[in-house]
Amino acid sequence: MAGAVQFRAIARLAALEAIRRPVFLLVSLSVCAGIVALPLLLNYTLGDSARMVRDSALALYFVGGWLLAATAAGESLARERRRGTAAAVLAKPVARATFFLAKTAGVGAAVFLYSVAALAAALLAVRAGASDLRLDWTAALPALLAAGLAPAVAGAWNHRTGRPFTSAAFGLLLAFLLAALAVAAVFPTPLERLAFPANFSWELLEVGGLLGLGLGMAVALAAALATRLPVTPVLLICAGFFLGGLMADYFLGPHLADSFAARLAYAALPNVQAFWLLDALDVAAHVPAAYAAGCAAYAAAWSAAVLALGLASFRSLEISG
Amino acid sequence: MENPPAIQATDLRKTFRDFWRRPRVEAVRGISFAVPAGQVFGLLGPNGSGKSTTIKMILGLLFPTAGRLDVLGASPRSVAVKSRIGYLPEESYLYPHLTPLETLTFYARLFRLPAAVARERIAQLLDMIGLAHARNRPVGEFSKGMARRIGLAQALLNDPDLVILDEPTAGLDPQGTRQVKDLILALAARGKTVLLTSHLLADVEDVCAQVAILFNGRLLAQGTLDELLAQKDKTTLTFPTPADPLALRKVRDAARAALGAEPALDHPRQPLEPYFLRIVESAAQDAASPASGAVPAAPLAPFLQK
Repeated sequence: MAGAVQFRAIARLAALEAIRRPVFLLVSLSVCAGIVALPLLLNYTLGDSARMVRDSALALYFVGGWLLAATAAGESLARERRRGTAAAVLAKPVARATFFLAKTAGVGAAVFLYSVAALAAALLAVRAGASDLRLDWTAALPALLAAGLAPAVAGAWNHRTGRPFTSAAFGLLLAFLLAALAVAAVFPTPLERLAFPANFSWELLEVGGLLGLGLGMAVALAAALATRLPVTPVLLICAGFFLGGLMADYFLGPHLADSFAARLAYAALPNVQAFWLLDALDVAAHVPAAYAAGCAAYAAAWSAAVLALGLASFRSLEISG
Repeated sequence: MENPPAIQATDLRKTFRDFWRRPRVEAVRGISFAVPAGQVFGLLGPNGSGKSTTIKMILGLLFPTAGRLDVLGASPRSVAVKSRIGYLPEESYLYPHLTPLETLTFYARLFRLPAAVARERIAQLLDMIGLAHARNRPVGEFSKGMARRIGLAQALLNDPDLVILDEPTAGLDPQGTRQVKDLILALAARGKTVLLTSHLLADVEDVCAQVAILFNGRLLAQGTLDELLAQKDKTTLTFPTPADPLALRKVRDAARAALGAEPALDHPRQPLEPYFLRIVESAAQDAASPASGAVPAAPLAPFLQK
């Protein structure tokens, strides 16, 4: 399909541009390094340190991801408008809908890669800190090496070849973390009295996947806002939506039955707490498939509605750059 | 039957508004003009006269506040029409981390060119603009002139019927300028329509069949260069300089006697451009080391000559 070729070309470029932004590497590296360092920071504390590592790892992933999604999606469109490349592309036979949706998809793909890296780091960190008594160095060491070596090797490569540092560092971070996961999988954990039963807590990926849906909502929101606003207001509004979505149940929940305004506000805010299922994992081994499907449908419907508004805004936008 | 104009603007207006929708700037104030198909048409005017706004309306990037605009017989917002247009923006809007090869491949995909056709055209265009040797360097490292050449190549990828060139020679060296002018004339010879804006009036004079002059959003003059520039009350007679100075005096006396006015006699001066090009090309042939920037370009890309 001819439109698909355009869509892929624009989306691929948008993903590449997002990954080449310094802020993308800064957030990704900070989050992944923070996650793999969690067992060192939290182990040996009294009581429930394994659960603290797990919860903190996913919280870091989600908050960092929300920031990354909002920044990358907001910057992507705003930069194209500012730099004039939007005018150059839209002077070609490219429908505005294709351009807008492909840019959003490209940023979504970049955020997906971030999610893969952060969740790999979380799996390693949770295994490394699965006991309150001592660290599992077969997981901790490869994870720490991955986070430390990626920027160092990328820097040396940049010095030698002149290739972009940021995308190389992110690519290496992702590759090294996956390699660390593979290395750790070869060695069974030496720890005893584990807080979680298996070598790796794979159920983390189920919750991580749900949180990833929330990051998709952030990408959609930021992309829609960026059709009209510069990056800073986009970030502020996204932060407002994030906090509003986290607290919606507490503030709006009691008024949903008798207030139309409360129902409207509740529907408009991304209900991100619905994706935070770690507490549920303590009582059940897996996220129920029906619940996950419901979350996916909710995230898809909310994102589609926001993207429809963004598209309507972008179609009537004058490109003067 | 005469071909319909490639671009027809009728009482075209554009008012920019502020955040509160209040009129802020009236950039184009009711202009009407027609760009005949197959001709080179110059849109001239000082900064802020409305040239770029008009071009962006033709490309469907800005929307007219009032009036009518037809481009190749359709609305400028039609996606289908844009596949027949090539556009070189005033600034070289390029993705800085992409190489020329990647940039042109990206735009070829936007034009939905089959991969084999795209490969062939990209190779020919890189040769034509003299940047084949720099095809794998990021365009962010290029000089303004080199980036301009990439911009020109992307505007021609689809072998367009209508080429819109916003300040096409800005930032180019004299060789690049001559090449662009030759390219414009070659496109017109193939029946393509070229709309260009330029501050360099000598360049416009070299290539344009018709011009329209804008000032403050209004159309001040429009017509062929002969209509607008010919000084009908003066005549130039050119002949080889005679070896005998007396012969020249006889010509002057005869003219004075016949016309009753003092004729002006001087030697015509050749334009600087061909003189410059001749000595630079001669020096380039003698040079031993390869250039790091744009090299003297190949003739017109073969796919643009068919």
